[in-house]
Amino acid sequence: MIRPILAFTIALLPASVLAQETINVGVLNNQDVSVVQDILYPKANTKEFGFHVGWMPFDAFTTTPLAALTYTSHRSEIIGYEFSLGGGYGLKNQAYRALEEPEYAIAPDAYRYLGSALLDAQFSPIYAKMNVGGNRIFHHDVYGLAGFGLTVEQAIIPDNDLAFSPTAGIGIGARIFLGGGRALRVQLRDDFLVQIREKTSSSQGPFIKQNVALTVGIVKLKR
Amino acid sequence: MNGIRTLSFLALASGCNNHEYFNVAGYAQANYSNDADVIFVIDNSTSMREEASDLALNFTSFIDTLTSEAGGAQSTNGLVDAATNFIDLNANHGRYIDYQLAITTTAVDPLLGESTALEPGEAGWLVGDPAILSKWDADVGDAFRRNILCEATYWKEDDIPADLTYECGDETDVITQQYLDCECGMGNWENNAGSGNEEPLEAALLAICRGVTDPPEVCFDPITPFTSSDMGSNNSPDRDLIRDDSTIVVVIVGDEADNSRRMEQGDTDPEVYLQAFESFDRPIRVVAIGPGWDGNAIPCNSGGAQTWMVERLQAVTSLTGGFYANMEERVDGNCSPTDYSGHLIELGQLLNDLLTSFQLQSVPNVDSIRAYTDGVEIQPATDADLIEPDASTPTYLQGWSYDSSQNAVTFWGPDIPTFSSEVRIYYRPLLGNPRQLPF
Repeated sequence: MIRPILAFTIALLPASVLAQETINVGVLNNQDVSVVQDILYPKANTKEFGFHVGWMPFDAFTTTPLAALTYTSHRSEIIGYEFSLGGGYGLKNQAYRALEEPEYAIAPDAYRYLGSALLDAQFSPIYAKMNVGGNRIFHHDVYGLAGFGLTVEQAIIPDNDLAFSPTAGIGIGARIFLGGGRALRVQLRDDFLVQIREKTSSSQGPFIKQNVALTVGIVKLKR
Repeated sequence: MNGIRTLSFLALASGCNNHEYFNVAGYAQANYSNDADVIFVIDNSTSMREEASDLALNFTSFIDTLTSEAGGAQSTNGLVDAATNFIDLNANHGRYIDYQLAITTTAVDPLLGESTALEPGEAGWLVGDPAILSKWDADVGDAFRRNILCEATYWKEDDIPADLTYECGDETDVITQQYLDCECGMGNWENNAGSGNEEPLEAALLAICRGVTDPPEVCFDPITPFTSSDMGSNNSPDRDLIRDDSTIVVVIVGDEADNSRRMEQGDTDPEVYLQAFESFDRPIRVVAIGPGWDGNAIPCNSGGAQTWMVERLQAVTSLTGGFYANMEERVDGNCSPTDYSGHLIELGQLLNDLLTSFQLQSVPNVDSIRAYTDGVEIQPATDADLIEPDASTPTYLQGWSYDSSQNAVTFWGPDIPTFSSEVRIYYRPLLGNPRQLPF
């Protein structure tokens, strides 16, 4: 009984009395307004350990399965530093085998990838989420990387010459966060090698070789 | 779309990695075999009547040498012989060529012979019984001599002296009617003339076509008399003319060189026959004894050969790693037969080289040559390995050397590949890659 009477009494109060109490906050500019995506999977100050597998399918004469271990230190949400240790074995592809046939009897002086050790800086400015089929939301980031290191390759011709090549690389990738500190990482990387090939070193300067690798890995982020 | 463009660019960029290219020798010779199948293609046309006796005597000398111990026949009389043979085998592989000998003639078209029906000796068909002679046959020398004398040589009775005192089995330096009667049977050696159109290259090709179980397409060209019914016709029940992994050596002897049908008259480029030989996918060497052409004229030309006939044979022998020798030479203004035994010694050397030398298809940059046997690199021979430093033809204790006259890599001593080894020789061709790459 009392509540309806109270409500009726309040209703009789002039509304303009409430609206007249204002607070001056000054001028509001666009840059003051930010829409913040709640970062469910922060990377800042985490250590990331990863195992990756992939392939280098784009060379004219070799096709290379490879694997890599990575250790990344995320200094912030955007900047991180990574050490990568990779290994693989370049195989002769169909073009190489065709050239070796008696019809051509030619052996390209191709070198197979054996391994690499690389230091990279990562820049991951994008954090986003995607809706897959309207059923599930995946949080992910997108990053670019650049770095340098050393790549070891070996001649396919039976002299088995080893080439230790200074390497610079760039790449692009994405982490799809799976929860529990894990993420699926997909990366495309292009390494540029400065390679000296022993059999032609007297007549030919260093070769610039590109190794383009597509890798998929599982990483674990820890604080 | 931008992502696809980036991916495509990266793929193209990586696919454009630069490479140097090495030629590879040894591909078709995965097994280093000691088998040599030697096919003699003898001109038995009437133009050879003057050379018949010398041909017979020279071949007699050749086969005697080949079948002697000096020529590689093995004595196997007990354990000492077996041990000696084994040591010799490893020290000098060349002496242990496992050869087969067979004979055909330069006649291809049966219509131009004594009879219009196809007969042994024509179109690459072998002569003799047995037609294929093996090193291991008890009387290979006698059988070879009979096949040459009785089946592949043109004899005219009027040209052959008689010797009524000759008895069968006597040694002789002169071919007489009685000698031929003893070797071939009474009168069986007379008038054995083949076609006057000498086609030794075609005859050799057809002989090989008849000697393999799966002849390549080139054998069935309409231009030749070879048909599917001729497949294997040169093989005997216990022996194939062309064995697996063997090297084929063709020895052409004739006074009119070559007028084979797949080449136009006047054409000196034997590419069509080289490609035909290549289709058998094994090494084939061609040796020829014929008219001597010095680039200007044929000074001794009893058969009336044209210079282009001689030139194409010389080209074939050079390009296949064989050799060409003159049948006659001018001595004191007169033409006289050369001593075939010297040529045939060269043939023996060629057989020896089959096991130790690997011919290259292009002239190499010698510094770029790398040789491997079963994946192990063989080092090049050095001056310290020379056996006789002052010898005109260098021989080495070990390693490999490049022979520019043969355009071949020769292995020496313990580095001679053992039988069935896989040999690969990589080299940069001096004039760039000869073939168009497929990309």
